[in-house]
Amino acid sequence: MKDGWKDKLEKLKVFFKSSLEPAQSARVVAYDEIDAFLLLCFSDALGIPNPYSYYMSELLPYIAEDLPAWENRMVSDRLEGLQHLASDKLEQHTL
Amino acid sequence: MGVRLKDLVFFAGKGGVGKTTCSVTYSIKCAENGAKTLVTSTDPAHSISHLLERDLSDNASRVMENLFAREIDPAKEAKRHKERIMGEMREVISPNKISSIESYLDMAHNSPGVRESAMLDAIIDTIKNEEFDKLVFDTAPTGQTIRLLELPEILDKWVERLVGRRKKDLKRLKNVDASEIPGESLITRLVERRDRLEFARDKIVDESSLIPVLTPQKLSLEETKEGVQLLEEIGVEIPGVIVNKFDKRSEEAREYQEERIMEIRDELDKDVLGKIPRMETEIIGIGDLKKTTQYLEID
Repeated sequence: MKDGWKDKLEKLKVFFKSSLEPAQSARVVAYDEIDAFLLLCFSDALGIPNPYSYYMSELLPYIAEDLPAWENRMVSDRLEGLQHLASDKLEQHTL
Repeated sequence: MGVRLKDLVFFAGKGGVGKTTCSVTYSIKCAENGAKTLVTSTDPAHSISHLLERDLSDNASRVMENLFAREIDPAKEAKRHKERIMGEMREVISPNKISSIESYLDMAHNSPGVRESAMLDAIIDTIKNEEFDKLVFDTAPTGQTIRLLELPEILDKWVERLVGRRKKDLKRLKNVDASEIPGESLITRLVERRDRLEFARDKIVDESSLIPVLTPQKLSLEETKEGVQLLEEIGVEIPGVIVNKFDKRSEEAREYQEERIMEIRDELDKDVLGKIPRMETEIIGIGDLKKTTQYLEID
């Protein structure tokens, strides 16, 4: 009985969440992939040495326009990421 | 009749063992046998210029009939690479954004491993040039040589991953914000780079001979062992080794060194394809080098 209620509550939560911000979730996920790709290429900009920098720098003309925005996302995303972690932990406690 | 080597030959070994002497001597031998030969030095100490008694550049210059020589400076090659990218960027990026992007480019080119990458690219360009029958390299000391030869393999896997991820990004973003997709040209560039490195790996692993050079001493043998093992794991063909600076001055020295040579044969499990004696005076100039060809059992 208890499990049935929990399950329904969960589904309701998800419904409300996604109905409020569907595009944003999808976009965040899409950006995550691109940002991961760019991190692989340009970790030097964040102070992480990369043995393949020589080869990845060849890609600069193709994505250079995006780089400053990416760098900002890298810095601010970390803070968003932490907030996200914190709220997850809270939810676990209330359930 | 010596052992026939492939058309692409690398001489490897620690600094000071005599790679340059061996590679140039071998190149002279090839030239004398009628093969149009290019010997390239990647040694930052310009030893090949001293050996041949002439100034060399990164353009092949004629040394004698059928023999050309050149020096590659990895720092210069890296700079050229950076400048090429700058050129490409100027065509696609607005002038007010260029300087901030330049700092990214500088950071990338100050990263460790850039010189090795530039060197490998220069080697690839040399191999792609079909002008010569024989290409000989006096590669840098053993550690760097191994890294160079491992690079194509490592990068191949890495670039493939990036290509896969890039294709996923394109698919995903198409559902959200079409204008933010950088484009197919990026993937093309990645694939070009992967193909170039695969070409290098195939040439170096399947179509080259690598000859370690060592001196008849315990330390030299130890230093060579690890290198040989690693290279063979990659699949590079090592038909044998060359022993350089064999000291003939006393019976005692000869005996000691012959023992070391036996150890070399046993522990490396390789034939000794040349035993070059230490000369009374340094080997300098084409005359001396021609005389040295008699000690090589490689063709």
